[in-house]
Amino acid sequence: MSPKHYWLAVFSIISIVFCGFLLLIRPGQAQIELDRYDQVSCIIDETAELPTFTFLTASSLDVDKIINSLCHHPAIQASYSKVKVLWPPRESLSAEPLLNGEYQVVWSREQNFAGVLPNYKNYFKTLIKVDGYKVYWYSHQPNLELTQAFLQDKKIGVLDSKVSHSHYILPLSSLKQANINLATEQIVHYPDGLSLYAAFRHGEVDMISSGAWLESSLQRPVHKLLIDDNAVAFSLFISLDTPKLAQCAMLEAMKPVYSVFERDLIHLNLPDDVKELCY
Amino acid sequence: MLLTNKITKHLILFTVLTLAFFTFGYFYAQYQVASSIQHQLSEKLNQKVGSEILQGLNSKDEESARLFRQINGDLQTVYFSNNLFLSPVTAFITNQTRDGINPNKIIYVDLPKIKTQLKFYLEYQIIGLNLLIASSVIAGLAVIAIFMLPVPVNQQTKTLRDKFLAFKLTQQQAINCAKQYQTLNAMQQQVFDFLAENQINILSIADLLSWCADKKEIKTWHAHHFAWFCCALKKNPDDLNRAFAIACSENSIEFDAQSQALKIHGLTIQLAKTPFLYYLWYAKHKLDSDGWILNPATNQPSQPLANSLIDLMETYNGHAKAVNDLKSFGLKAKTIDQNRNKIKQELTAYLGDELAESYLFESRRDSKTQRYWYRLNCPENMIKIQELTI
Repeated sequence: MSPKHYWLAVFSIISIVFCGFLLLIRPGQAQIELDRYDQVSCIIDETAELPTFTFLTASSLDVDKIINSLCHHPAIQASYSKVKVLWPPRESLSAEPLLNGEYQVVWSREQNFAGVLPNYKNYFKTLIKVDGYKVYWYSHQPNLELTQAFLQDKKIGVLDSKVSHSHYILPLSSLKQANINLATEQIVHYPDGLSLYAAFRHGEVDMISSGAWLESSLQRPVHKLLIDDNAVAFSLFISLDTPKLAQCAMLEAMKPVYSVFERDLIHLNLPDDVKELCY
Repeated sequence: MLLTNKITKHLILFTVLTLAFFTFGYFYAQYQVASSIQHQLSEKLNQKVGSEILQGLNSKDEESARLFRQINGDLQTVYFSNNLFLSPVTAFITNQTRDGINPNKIIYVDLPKIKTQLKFYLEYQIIGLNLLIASSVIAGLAVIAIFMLPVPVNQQTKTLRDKFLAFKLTQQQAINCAKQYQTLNAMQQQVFDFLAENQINILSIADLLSWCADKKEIKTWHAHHFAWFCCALKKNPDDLNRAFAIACSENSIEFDAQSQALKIHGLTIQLAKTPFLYYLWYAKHKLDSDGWILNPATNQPSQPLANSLIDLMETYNGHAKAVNDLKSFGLKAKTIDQNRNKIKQELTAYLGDELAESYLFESRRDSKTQRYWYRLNCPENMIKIQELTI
């Protein structure tokens, strides 16, 4: 064997063995399973053979407080093994899971809910009703007015969700009534309320529409223009087979949310039976 | 010795390979862990953007904090299909700045649709012991395979190997000899070649090589040392060491008056008594004077020269006949020529022309008488005379 062949053989042996070594120590695929991030849950008692308390809400607003309150409530603990709060895109609501009893509580607008399940009253009752709140145009610029001239170089933020009253239907219909035509690029769509508010705060858009609750989250003064002083209400529907004390637990858990409405003088309606039951 | 050398070399290779594999494996595993998690997280989180992850995450607002908490929860223990070398891995997002983190344990996941980059820290250990065991086993396999390879032979060794194969050696022995041969210097090789060519049967070829290698003095030999070595060996083919000693002897001519023997360069030469005494006579002249002795004229023998020789012969027990002839006829040109020739013949026969040359006579012609002057060729400091012991 000539030295050339010898060294070639040595090199080949080391290379082959080295490749084998890499195969041997290769960690392989990471096993990563990500849960859904449009929901949060807490486990009360994994071993108990009890159903899950599921709340279908509209956004992730205050979900931590809500779920925390629910999970620690004795009435919920007595009847459920797990609590789940989820907020998939509003358009995804369909009749099937409602009929299957998958949701104990649903946050929706009465018309929408009835549109999905016309006989919803056979399964659900209204727990809270938010009525007649005011919707405004908000802008950082002074002299806010709904004219073609003012809006010429402005960008408007709306929600992607075509069923949203405050952030889609009301602002676009108010523009139409005022006979204002905007170029497509002047209207920016956002997937949810939080991103919409963030875009307004950061100046990505000049104007958005919202209920009065927006004002508390803004650091600098803002100018507003009323669009509607009696916007269509939204409600919290609760399944009829929910134990009564659990209904009250739900009401209590929603406090952080409706306390915001109350501060903004938004009228909360509680049905008589609920008042009677829980207060 | 060659085998020990080979084992040592392979042990060194084993150590080097083990360390190299271990080091490379360590960083390779870290890189693979980071890249696999990065790749999967990037794919899975981007799928959620627009449906489950809606707005840019900036770790300050409540929504981001919840998301981070949920993501961290899902990544609390990430297993790998091969976890022989890994402790369970934890990946997490944190808004606390952490210094001195190994950059291999940080990954970035881009969520371009919401213009967000998430920074994850990884927490895990590489199980060093397992990695070391795997490295050494794999390095061991490589070294065993390399050890089994036939020994490499270069062109020069190949030619030499063929030469040694002629001595009825096995392939391996011939290669070993060829390698050892290459460690000898030119003179040692010349000595070995001489010994091998002349089929010296006293030692095996391998032993001859070792003998040449062991005699370090050979390295500094000149051509005349080699000539003396060859000459001595011809006289006594069985005694390598004696030939070596003669080659190393000093350049001298020793006259032992007692045994009437000559020792030239350590080599003993026996001359007939009369030529020996003539030789001694010339030597003594060289020591006593400039050494030149003018040959007597052919028609007129020299009495003074004869007297000087008679003295010497009587001192050293010369033949009575030779002494008488000198006394009767003086020193004839013919007699002195005959004896010088005899010395020349004997030395040349014994040492060969070349080596004998410097111990013979030089001559010059006398311009007045047209006769020749003769004296010993070698310088006087090379001449030693062992006088009689009484």
